[in-house]
Amino acid sequence: MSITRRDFFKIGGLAALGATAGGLAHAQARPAPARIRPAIRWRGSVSTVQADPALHLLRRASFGPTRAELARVRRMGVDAWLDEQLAPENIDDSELETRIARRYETLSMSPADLQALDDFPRIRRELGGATMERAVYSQRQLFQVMVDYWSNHFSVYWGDGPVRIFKTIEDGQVMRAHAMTTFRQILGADAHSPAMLVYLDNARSSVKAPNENYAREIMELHTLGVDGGYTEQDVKELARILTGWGVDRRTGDFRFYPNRHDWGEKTFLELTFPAGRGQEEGEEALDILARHESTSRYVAHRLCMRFVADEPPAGVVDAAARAFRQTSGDIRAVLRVILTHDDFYASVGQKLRRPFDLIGAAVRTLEIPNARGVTLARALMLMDQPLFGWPTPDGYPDDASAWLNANALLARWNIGLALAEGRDPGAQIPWDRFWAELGNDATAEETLDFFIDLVLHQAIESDDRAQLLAYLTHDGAGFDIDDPEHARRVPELVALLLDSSYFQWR
Amino acid sequence: MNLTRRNFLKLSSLTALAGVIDRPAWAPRMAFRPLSGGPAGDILICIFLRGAMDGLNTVIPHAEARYHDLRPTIHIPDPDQANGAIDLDGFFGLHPALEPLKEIFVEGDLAFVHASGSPDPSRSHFDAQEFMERGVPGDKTISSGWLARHLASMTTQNDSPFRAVGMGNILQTSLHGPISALALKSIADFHLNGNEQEIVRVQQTLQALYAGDAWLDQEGRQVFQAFDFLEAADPSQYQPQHGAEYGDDLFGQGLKQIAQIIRADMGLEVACIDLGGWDTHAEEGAVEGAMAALLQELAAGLEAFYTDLQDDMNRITLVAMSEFGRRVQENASLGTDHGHGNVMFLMGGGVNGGRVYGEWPGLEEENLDRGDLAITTDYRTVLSEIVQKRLLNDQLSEVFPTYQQAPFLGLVQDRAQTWPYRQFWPRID
Repeated sequence: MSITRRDFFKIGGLAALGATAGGLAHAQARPAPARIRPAIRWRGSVSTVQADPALHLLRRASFGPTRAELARVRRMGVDAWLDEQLAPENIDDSELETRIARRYETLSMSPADLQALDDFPRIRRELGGATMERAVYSQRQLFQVMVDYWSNHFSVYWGDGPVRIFKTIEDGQVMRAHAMTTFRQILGADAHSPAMLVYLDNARSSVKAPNENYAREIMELHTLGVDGGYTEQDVKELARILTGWGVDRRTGDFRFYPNRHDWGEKTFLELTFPAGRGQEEGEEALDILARHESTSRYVAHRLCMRFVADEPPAGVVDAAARAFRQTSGDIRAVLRVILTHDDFYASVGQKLRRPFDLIGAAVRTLEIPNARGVTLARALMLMDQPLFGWPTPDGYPDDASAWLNANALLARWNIGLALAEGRDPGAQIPWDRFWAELGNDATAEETLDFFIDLVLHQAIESDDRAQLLAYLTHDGAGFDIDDPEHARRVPELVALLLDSSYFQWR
Repeated sequence: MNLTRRNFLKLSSLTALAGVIDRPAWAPRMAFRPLSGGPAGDILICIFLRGAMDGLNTVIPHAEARYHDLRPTIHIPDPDQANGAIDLDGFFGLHPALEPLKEIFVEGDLAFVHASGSPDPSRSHFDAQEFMERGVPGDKTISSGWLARHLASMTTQNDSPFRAVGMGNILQTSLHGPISALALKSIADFHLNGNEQEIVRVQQTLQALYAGDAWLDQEGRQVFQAFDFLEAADPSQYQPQHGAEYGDDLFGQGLKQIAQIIRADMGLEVACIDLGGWDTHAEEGAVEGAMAALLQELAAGLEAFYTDLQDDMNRITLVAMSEFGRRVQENASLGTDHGHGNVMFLMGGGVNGGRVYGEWPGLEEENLDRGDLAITTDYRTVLSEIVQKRLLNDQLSEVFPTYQQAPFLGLVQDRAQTWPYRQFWPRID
């Protein structure tokens, strides 16, 4: 429901009359808003997130802390946890993967099967559902974060024609197969993936009519970066080099078409590509791009934007770029440098959770068992981050200013309310377990602190705590956990915690 | 069109002089906005056509033989042929899908500036859009948007949360910066949803939790202010007038909501709205097809907006732009690749319409910019003229700090002169 202004004033008026209601009086005394923000503030993220290495690492390198995982990191130490997460192949995820394979059959289908199925809504539902469930329940948390990272680094738009079939294939064969291999491997896998070849039109590029779309974006968005030192002529030449890289219409697999390829001589990045070479010159171009110095800096910078800050400090970017060059783009080595760097640990609270991060973190921290990814993916649509739904090849933005505005904040609040009130049938909070943990005699303060710990894992400012306590006790009128009338305030309390600024940052 | 703009101007000056303006009884607007609020000049609607619209197939240089030669498949036929371009001035013609705009053009409220755009040579969508929206092509050190700087450099007392509105969930870059702009997807959905018994208290508690000074608190405060404004002004009560029909598409619905905000008089100064999907590398189509469908959507939205707000057109300027144009020569995928020069749209009561402006560079090989339409008018010349003459902001060096101003093209009337009573007649609403 939308609350009417009249209701709002009625309660406000009552609260103002009862002079003891500190919280509401505070709301009444809302200061005149400063319309013009201090220049320094609008990009700077001043957040209330507490510094705590274990918590920080979990906020960034996973889809959000849970009580159990936080206890585990504290027990084993941040370094050991990172070691573990950097070797996902040694983490047993078979229970989850078995469940997902059973639940979402389209994930293992071939392009021909998917084509024959002729049910695009189902294909998307299942890919989205699996993605959400893996993000929430996988033990390989850093791996899942990296899958999300690469899915945006090499972003394709699901709705673009045959991408609707090929995205499912690409998710398995590119993103999940190579999330933690080397940059050259994932770049190469992506360049051979029908999803990308179709999305950026290379599949239709030929010697008679080279299409520059993919050639441009591979340099601008995947490797060198827009200021990485290539020219418009390089775009044209790379487009020629990549002519013939296409998709077999019959099987839906990659195929090199010699008759569409431009066999002439090219000059790419000041290097001569002699005439008479086929697919191998495309591979060579990828080699050159993957080991280019600009690529090391560009990829390091993008990764640091994801893990450290919207405008990451030069120190960690340089260190990551150096690691990239020294290891020929070993993704694990670069991640290790970033996630152990001083700049990383100094960046607490500087990244805003994108909607995907937010939903993942909420379901995880509320210890919701067996959530249905399909309904979680629907919540993402309401927050304008539908999975694989970003139309342009730059992927979803990863800076707070893109996501932080009044409309988006309201959408977050409403999703928090919907989750807490159990309005998502696929994500039910285990209240019985929480009631049992709390016991029958929990006071308002004990109840409040229990849920602050459950949702935020940190102490909050005393003013904020007082506001929440005022809510829970209806301004001191009392709170009896055994009284159903009172207990129904608890879901709203959880919503307020999810909706608070503490929960928006990672 | 039952009321021409000129008649209207006459009429409205009379009402202004007489101090009589119909006011619905419900309107407690004074409680929310001081007299001095609202824009000093026009309300600006800024449309961004994302993906690089093919301006050569939008406002077509049909008299250029080279146009037809370089686009054997996707050219629009000459005006004298079936499904041909709609002639504007003997040289340029409208794409047939823009037919609804012809009347506005003839009426004098619509103009085009051809061979215009951002001078930066980048053919990257993302760079070019960023540069254009920040108003500083080629300069990556200035991250605020040109509209944000315009608003920040105005000295109005307008503290409405609806002063600057970006339709959609992600705020346009042009509105990023030292002002608060509201991203708005849907007026109807702009409220908290929750347990009815608790929601009032939940909202109050949330408001208290967001009472601080941090960035997020400021955004939160904006939500609550917007709640108040929407509650008081109830823009959704304004249904389209004069038989205007908005489409169900996002663009049409966005314009409809902008119109509602304007009519509810909520202090709007600048609204941004996007229409994307113009990246027609393949199967662009000609008279029909992918691009024609987009043009139709664009024209339908503009026509509905113009019809709906015809009584307000003398205080509205609308400008539409795209990050760059497309290559003159069609490609073998029956589309066009990234180009350079493009066409801009201007609509409003203050626009000296009925003309296609700009120096036409020609399409001969030697006149092209690396195969693309050259730019003879920097888009900032167009915007600067609007900012100065219609938005009444003289501080162009604040708005476009890196731009060496060129002479104005005479695209719009100077509002300070067409509205001489402004200083003596503070807005009655």
